[in-house]
Amino acid sequence: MKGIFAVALGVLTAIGGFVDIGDLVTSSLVGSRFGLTLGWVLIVGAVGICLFAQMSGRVAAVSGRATFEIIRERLGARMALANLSASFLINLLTLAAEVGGIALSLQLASSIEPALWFPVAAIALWIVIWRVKFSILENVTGLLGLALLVFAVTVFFLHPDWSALGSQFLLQPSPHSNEAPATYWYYAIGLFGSSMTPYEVFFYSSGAIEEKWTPKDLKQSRLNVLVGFPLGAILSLSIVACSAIVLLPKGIGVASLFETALPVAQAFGKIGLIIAILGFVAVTFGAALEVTLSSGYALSQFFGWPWGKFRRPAAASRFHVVMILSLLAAIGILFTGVDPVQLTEFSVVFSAIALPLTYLPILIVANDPGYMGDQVNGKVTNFFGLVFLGIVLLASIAAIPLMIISGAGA
Amino acid sequence: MIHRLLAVRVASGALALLLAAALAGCSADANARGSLSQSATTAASASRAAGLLLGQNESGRILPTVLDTGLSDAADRLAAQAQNVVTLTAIGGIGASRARVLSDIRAAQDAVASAQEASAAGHDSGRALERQRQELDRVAQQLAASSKRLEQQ
Amino acid sequence: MRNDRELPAPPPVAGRVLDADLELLDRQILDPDGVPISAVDDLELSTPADLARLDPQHPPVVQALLTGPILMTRIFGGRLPESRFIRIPWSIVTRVGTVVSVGAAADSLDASWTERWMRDHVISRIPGGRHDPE
Repeated sequence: MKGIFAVALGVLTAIGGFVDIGDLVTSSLVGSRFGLTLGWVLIVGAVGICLFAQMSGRVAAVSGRATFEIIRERLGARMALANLSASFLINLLTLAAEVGGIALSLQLASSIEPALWFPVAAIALWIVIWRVKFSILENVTGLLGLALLVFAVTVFFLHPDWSALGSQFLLQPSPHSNEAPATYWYYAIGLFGSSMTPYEVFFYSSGAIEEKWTPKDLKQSRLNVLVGFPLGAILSLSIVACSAIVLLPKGIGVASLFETALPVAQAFGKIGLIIAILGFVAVTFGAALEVTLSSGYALSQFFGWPWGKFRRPAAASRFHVVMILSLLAAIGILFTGVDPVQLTEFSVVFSAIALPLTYLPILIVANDPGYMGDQVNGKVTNFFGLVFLGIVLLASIAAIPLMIISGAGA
Repeated sequence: MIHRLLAVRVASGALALLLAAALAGCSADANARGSLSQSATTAASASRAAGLLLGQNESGRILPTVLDTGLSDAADRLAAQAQNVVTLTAIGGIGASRARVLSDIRAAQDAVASAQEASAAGHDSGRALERQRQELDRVAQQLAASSKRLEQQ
Repeated sequence: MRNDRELPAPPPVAGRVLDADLELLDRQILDPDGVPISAVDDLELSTPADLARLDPQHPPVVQALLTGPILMTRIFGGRLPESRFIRIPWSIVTRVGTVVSVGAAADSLDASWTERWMRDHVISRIPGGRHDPE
């Protein structure tokens, strides 16, 4: 019985942990402007993240080493430093967006201005990272994130025109013909970047070391990833669908978090809103924890410092100092007055740009018999890995030109 | 070989970023008409969102905190668009359109402000805000029409 | 490009032959308890002043692993004065595999002074820093 509980916990945590502020904002925005015609991007992104999360978890479990330790050994110090710098900066951007997301969600719960929540959120994040055990931190936020299932239920309760949704999903032309192709593809890249988040790879592989995985744990990890992540992607898809059903016909383009929740209010009123807001707070808080830890992991692993929440803070001092400084930098960014929703929109596009930096090393290391022994990638995994590497390279190169041409999706 | 590929990719990425920053620095939108149309669309969207919020509030579906947040966000966005329109130079014969769009945005801002006042005074349930909602829907329609007209000219 | 035929054959020694660049540089250094110390940022060799006239009878010898700011001079160029080198003497290296193991505890080494500094001046000052997470 305990075994089933553990398995279920893993899967449920993966579902709830899949969504972050990037998903919330981008999914609802895309649904409100493009209907379900960009839904395919979520499917592609989900397959990609499953592939690479599973690979990075396997690398960690088999070799006992985490991502950035291996990146430096395999790619050399210069490449790894370039990789680290870019990844770290984009991580900071993402962290600022997530903390902003926490503040926006708390504003929906309290009417209190986001700016007042920034420092509160940062301190709360730090306290959790300082004192709470890794597995508890992961499980609690992941399970609470399941509150977002209210969006999936809302889709059914709104009695949509299923055939219209279906034809949108299967790529009929965008319902709003004034959306230029460049804008469509710009948001496709953003949606892609929001599903295949770069920090996930660092976090997943370092998390495997935190929880001391052995090759025996790979089966559970495979289940979490192959069942949990796709279900998480379906959750994101239901957010797209809710916007497509309620906001698109009214011509409301999402630019604030409250609009994301309006479809739920339509179906379930105040109770639905309470559940949705709980979900928002849980996923943004959980994601912010992951991103903060990722910045600590990335820097510490590159330089060879002791790291990990499994060590007392005094035994991993520089690791913790990096995370404190990252949180300070994030609220510094937020206090410039930038709109957290716009910040999120930019962070997902820049995440897409950074994707090749994160995924290429994983692919290289997963094929290295020195680290993996006989658990190197099979031919099928490598085939899909290369296909996805091509996709992320394409997205990365096209992102800036599309941003310029489409005026950042205006 | 892979190192070189990566180096090329990183270098070209950096170059692209620099180029983007430079282009963004110079005003990328030389087209005043396009910018006005864009502002009108965004303002229309914000007005409709506020309208939808008020409509749902009428049927008792909205938490007071969400109402406050939504109205305040809508007010901010309308103010930002008003600012954009005001600082737009009226070249290319869009002076009349600009004035019309601006007055519509101001009307929307007034409606949102009245709704916020009513809500703060506790008159936010039932049909108390219906007038504001109808005003917002009307203004949104006009703004959307202006936007379309500007695009097609 | 190197012409491999012109290089002298490696000396016949009992033991392993390593490629310093591939197998030593950028490797993690661990102490006997598995605590990370640093990465191998550079190597200190005993080289004669004139590199053009290396004597095959007296090849350069690895004297120490280097860590710290030397990494930046290695990547970007420039020189660090020898007085500022942070060394881990080669004599305490016990094993070279996918990680480099040394025989001295992390805290006893010069190389982890920044870790100790952060610990003593920052982390210890914050309540709960010395406790395990709950």
